[in-house]
Amino acid sequence: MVSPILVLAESSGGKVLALSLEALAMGRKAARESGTSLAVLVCGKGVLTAANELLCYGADKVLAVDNDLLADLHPDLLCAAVSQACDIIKPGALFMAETLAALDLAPRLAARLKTGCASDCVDVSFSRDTGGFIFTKPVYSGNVMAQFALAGEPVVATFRARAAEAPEPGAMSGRVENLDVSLVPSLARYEVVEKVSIDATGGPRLESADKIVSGGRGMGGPEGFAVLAELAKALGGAVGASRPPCDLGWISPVHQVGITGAIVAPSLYIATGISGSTQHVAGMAGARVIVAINNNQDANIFKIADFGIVGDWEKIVPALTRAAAEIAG
Amino acid sequence: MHIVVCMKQVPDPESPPESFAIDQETLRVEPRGIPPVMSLFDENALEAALKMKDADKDGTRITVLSAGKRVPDAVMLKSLAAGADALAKIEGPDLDHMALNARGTAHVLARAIEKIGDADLILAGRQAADSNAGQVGAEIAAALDFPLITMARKITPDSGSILVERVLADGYEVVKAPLPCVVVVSNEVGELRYPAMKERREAKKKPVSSTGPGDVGAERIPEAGAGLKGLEYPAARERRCEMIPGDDPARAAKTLMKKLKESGLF
Repeated sequence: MVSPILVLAESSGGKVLALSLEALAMGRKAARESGTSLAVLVCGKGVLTAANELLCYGADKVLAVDNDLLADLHPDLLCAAVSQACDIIKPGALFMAETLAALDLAPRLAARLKTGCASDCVDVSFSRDTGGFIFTKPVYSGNVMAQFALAGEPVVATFRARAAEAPEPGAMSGRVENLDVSLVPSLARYEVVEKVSIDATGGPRLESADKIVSGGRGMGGPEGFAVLAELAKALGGAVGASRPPCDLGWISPVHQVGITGAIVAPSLYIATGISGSTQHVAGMAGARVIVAINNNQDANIFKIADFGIVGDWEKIVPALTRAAAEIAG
Repeated sequence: MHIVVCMKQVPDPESPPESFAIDQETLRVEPRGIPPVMSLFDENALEAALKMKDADKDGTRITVLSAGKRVPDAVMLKSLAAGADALAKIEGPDLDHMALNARGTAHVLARAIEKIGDADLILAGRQAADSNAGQVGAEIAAALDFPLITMARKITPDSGSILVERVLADGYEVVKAPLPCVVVVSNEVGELRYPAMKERREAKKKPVSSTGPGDVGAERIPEAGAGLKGLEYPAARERRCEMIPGDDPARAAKTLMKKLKESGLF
């Protein structure tokens, strides 16, 4: 009997993140293949709404750590809480979505527990030979897929967006079990002085956006990105960028897609004035449909696109915005 | 303040896909005809250190620390030219950067940092451009029992401690951390500055040391948490680009939207 799989779900504004539901789908797959049970855990302050929502996704157990000291999800306190939860649940593997919070938590926790960790995985499978899981993740700019077996319990893995399809909610079953962990403020080894919210575009964030409109060097300057933002808005999507516009200061680096920025897999990716360097392509090649707009018909980007338009973005993008608005309207 | 920046050499990540050849016998990726370079995210970490040095030229010292089977000066020279003060290399046959795991790397680097002795701030990039793992920073902090702050986009000294802006999903937070500590730097810090020819020439005069892992007390490298079991090329997704004439933008836009709708997108 293999130890249970534990999925750590994140919530925002009382709602479970879609990315966490994808991680839950991976957990369900791993539990089914290995013949073990699936538990899901939420940690924070006031997370019971999110925990209740998780009762609809067929996990064997829904657990919650609801603690005032987790109000700010301080990484040291969160790591202590999850680590103590693992002591109680004794999972064989801990899965989470590759979010900003997980970029911190997964390696921090694995270092603390001295177990193996694989980040940014795209798949997991159970090996009957070894009785352990094999995690698949892209390495070398996505040019090679590597498979890892991880040591210790629980092994820690984070999963890339769209690696699994988020499950549809079913009927609510069972009830949320509260886990008692003991936290003290002094576990936090640094102090949070100030929190600043930025929501510059008002649109969805790059990592969670279903549609992304990106610009490259061909945009010529910051003004071009305002034009792209109009199209993104009409599509209900986010604005992305390749590296040069970020380096040149035309747009904030938070918008960067590629090896040095965000790795995204939306259903639609529109690459405008982007030549298609390896560095950029590695960050977006997983998109379901790729559209390239470029005035150079030999641009590399057309090789990986589903649809291409050769021409001036200055004319094509506004036309697309109008056409998209018509569809939406 | 003495800042140690951990730097990994990687095969140039922007090389074309065919440069990364898999050797199934040895279960390794053999870079073909591409030079090693400094990992891009570690360059971001160095840039964060240099920004701190810009603000306090006399009071800030930067050591670049790198472990590998061999760490060519030619690869690391750029870090000295950009403004680091010294390069400390840990070299040995067991430190093959193409095979070393995060925990092993962190162990060697942590022992080297102890040997350096007076490091106030340890910086690492958010992940290596080759293995894409993002664990070394956290492992160093654990090995040294130093506080760990991740996703830093700005670091400012603040009388014996530091203020760090951390990137969050919906903005950022400012945290105050005691020294010594480990800070993992986000790409939002910005690209490493480009050194001038004169700085490149002068960089060759800066101190470079090379020691073995045994010299820093890292003879035994801990067991890897992750064991490599297989390497394969990603399944190439066939995409045949359907070109839509762009000479009539309004018509091109309508055609594209229709096709996207047919693909089930709206």
